[in-house]
Amino acid sequence: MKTIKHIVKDPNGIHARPAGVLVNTAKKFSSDITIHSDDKKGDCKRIFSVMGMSLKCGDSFRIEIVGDDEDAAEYAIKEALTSSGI
Amino acid sequence: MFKKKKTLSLLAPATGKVIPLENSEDQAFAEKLVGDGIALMPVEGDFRCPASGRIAGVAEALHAYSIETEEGIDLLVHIGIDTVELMGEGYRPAVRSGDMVKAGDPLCTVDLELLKRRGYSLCTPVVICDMEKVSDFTPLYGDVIGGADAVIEYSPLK
Repeated sequence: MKTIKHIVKDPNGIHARPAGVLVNTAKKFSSDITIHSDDKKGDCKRIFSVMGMSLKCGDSFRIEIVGDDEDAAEYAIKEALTSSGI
Repeated sequence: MFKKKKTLSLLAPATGKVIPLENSEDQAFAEKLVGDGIALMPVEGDFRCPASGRIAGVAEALHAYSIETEEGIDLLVHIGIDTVELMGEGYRPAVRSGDMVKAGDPLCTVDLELLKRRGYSLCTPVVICDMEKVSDFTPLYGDVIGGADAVIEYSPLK
């Protein structure tokens, strides 16, 4: 399992568009990818699941990746978080 | 056994003009980072559901709606560019998360004049987030009537 820890940098939090970017990146991989905050858990491959986390700027969260392509998925998701300013 | 491919369509969420998603003013949508679809330039603020299914999520800022179609395909309708910043001002949703809807049902009423006054583009990406679940994706460009004309045709993969 790979774990990515991240703090939301987008001033508007993880709203619809960044959620969509994150989901579309996660969906390229067969690994199970979940997103976790202190009190919520979501499927990183469903847009409403990620939107429903209601993550705000400054919130910390983690993404857990389990599967055959977890290394590649970890790299791609980190890249998406950085390049999209999430 | 013959298996006829089913062609489905997504209806225009509002009256206006459909342009290629690549021309939307939001880079993430234009680069299809969220999924593939079209961009609608609405001329009326009466927004409708593009497909039958379930309202899977309403953004806290009321500007974006995700719909899970009856075939289990996730859609996103994002009304205006960067309009998350309005924090709900100008948007009156007709649905709540979890509602079952039919294509053409009211989705949201939007004060387009307010968006324009505040300097926001009305450009509304309508995107299929689950492109791996569809084939024969065809965007339909030009002038459309909200809730009546198709903007995308596609076949669900089974």
